[in-house]
Amino acid sequence: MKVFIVFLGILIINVSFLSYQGDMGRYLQVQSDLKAMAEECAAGAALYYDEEAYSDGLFEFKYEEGRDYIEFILEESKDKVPVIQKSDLSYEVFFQDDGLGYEEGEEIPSVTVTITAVTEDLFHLPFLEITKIKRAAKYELPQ
Amino acid sequence: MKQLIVLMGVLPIMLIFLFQYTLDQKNNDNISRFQEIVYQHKEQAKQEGCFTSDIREEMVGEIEATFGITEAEMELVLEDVPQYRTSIFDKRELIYYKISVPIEKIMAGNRFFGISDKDNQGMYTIESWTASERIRD
Repeated sequence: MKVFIVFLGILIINVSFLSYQGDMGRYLQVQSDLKAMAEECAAGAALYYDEEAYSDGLFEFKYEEGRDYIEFILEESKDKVPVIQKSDLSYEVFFQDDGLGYEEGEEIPSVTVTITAVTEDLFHLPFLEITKIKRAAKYELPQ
Repeated sequence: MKQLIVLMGVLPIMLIFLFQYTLDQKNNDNISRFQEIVYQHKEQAKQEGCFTSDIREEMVGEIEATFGITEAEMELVLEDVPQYRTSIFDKRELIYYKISVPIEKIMAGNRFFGISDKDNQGMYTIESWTASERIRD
């Protein structure tokens, strides 16, 4: 009986560890996918700038075009990533340019995209709960 | 003797955990490396406007070396017609890419649990679009 109890204990620890390791691997992958999406969104949105303002010596992004690009990437990518597929994706975009101004200490035009995914619990273990993943990326255009 | 018999029964079960841990590590490392390779070559494709044959060959070569597979085992759908940077959002000028690689073994000791080798494999896919930075001449 003693041997059986010890075996059962070791089995439970091993199963818990494997479950944790598998879920952690998936969690890291989702983070990596979201980071790549945020970088893609920021880099893509930064490509659209107002040429008329530029000819006047000002650098201003085309905010609506940038948002269209971000929404397209999020919409299309959502179906392609298994975990994100079942989650609610939202984004925030923050432009810094000559039109909207800059934060204190910064004077480089940039686009910062923050993506938040709210999903079902990523961990099967009862004492761990992660349902929200947030990743951000900033694309700067040094002049 | 009784102890030995119990050990012989328990040992394979315990070994599976060890093998599964190793396999998970290997698969996770391979997937991370795969993501890096695709990301790196996608950035090059942005500059060129598409996945040129040079970019494609280099990327396939690195994936082959990482996964120990051949190009025939991958699924590649890469934009090879140059796309151009636009001043307004136009999805027709985006670069599409889809790359799948096989994950040959997902679960260690699959036959022990009655899972066939065929059912114990899958494909890992990266599929997305990226904006071209190539300017029209």
